[in-house]
Amino acid sequence: MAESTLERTPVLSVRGLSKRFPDPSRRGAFTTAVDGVGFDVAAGESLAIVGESGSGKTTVARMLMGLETPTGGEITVCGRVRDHRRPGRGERRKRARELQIVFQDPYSSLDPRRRVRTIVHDSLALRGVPAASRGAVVDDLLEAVGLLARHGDLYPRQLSGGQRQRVAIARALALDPKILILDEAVAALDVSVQAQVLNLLADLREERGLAYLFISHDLAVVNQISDRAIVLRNGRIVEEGPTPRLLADPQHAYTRQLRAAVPRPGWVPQRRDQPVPAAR
Amino acid sequence: MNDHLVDVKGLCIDAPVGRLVDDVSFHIDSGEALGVVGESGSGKSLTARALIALTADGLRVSGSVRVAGHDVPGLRGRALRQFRGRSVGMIFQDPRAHINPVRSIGDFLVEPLVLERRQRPDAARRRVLAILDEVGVSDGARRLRQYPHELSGGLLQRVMIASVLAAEPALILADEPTTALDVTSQADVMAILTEQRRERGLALLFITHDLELAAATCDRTAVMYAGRLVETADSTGLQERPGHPYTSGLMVSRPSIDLRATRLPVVPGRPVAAFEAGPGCAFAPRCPHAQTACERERPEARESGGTMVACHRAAELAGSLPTTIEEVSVHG
Repeated sequence: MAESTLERTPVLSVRGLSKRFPDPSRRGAFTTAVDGVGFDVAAGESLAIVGESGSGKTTVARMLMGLETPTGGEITVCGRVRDHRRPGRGERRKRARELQIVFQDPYSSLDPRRRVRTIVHDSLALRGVPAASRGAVVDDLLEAVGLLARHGDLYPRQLSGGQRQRVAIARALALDPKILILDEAVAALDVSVQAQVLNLLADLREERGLAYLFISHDLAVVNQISDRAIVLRNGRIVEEGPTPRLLADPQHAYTRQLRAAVPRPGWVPQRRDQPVPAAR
Repeated sequence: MNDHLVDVKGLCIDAPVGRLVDDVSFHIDSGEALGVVGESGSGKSLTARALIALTADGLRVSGSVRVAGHDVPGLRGRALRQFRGRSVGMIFQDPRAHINPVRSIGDFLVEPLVLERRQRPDAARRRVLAILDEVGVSDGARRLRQYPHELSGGLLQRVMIASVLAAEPALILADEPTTALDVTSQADVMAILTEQRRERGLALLFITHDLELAAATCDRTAVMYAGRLVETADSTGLQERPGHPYTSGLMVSRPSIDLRATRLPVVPGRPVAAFEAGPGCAFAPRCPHAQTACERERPEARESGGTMVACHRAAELAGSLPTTIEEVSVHG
């Protein structure tokens, strides 16, 4: 498995990625959110980025999506290096078909004034699916994410959190991307619904050969969904490896600390008893 | 007659849309911790709020709620304020929403002691500094000068715990106090809360969606579904031998850090509110063990040996419900 992964060309390749933000409290100073991060994602592979809040994992996702401009490093998607100039209309459409994202909060990531059908429909138009066949494709996509055709006529507010997240996934899939970024995409869901969406994501990956970049702080969820994982702390990778190995035998003290904090039967919470770093 | 610190009997909460909390009864003794686990819409937060008469205006609360000798629904005005300030302390999910952002941490912590407890400002300050130290907030003097936005979520939640401890209540209500925190901060905050609570002999009602977290930190755990309590048991017993299919479903559908399942066992459908449930067992439409009786008739809460289960088939299913992903895979 590992060998065949190496032979394939990566659909996503990141080298020396960095992002510094101006520090609002000190003029002329900077805080480094992401510091020399590099990784590859092979076609059809699922890579998890694990870290706590402030570790820089969401900033990585935002740079991949073009929502932030990197201060340094190189991003290669589907063999094309992303330059930092403002992309034109054609280029943006091309990028949309390579990389899509599902956000954490299904309550704020869908347009409340559009029906589910229209939301998915618009993505199809962006991909250039002929108008005549869009309706049928919308139905297929809704079915693929476990919704019924009648859900298409509803507004996001009429749906539950789990159903909304399925719509967000359908919207992303409508562009037939090679890579799907899932930024804490199941974190806001109820336990019983979370399992359904995780199974759905596993099925979709198998059927469509999608690659996932799964961003999460939840190691149990990461164990379920990813082949490999990288652990991010203060913007740097402190450990990486195949997920089962990383969780069974963590090498870095920080990974061990993360693992020890996951509630499970027989677990007792421990005080860190060291001063917690103040917020920036 | 009644020695429980908290004694809730037949609590119902109704909104204009319909019933939200349906015939909930439980008790908490002094110094005891009870975890209430449920998904969204299960009514767990409403139940906690009913204990301090903090339910929204449009809601009708009925049933008996007794806390520390007070008949809570009957409290008004000054008596209610005193009860809230002295008998019960509340810790919320988002401390930022409950601490005045334009006042310093020092004001937030010291002022109640001066106004409510009539302590001298310098004595109150010394006491607050001592408590901050106990909850693991270092450099307390500097923290008192800081403002909420200067503190991380984990640190602010400890400030919140300090404020509750300073008021010396008999009962702490903690509603998802760690949901907004990272796993390491969560473990830290729960460890501190548990340790301080035990040291001071305070009772705790801990509201959470995380069954494992509740079981790890509470003496007893109650599971709520569609506004009703479906199971209450001592935490170890609940985890080893869940008595209700829903409890078991929550346990097996949660991914495991030790084992990767090809597919997660799934509870089909979504959680419902009390008013959406049919005449029978609210969980029946999602339950793998449901029979015709389950859909027609409400299961009564049956107690035996300190354990309560509301399920028609509880006796048959006892001891056979799976607790891990592995057991489900083995059984098919």
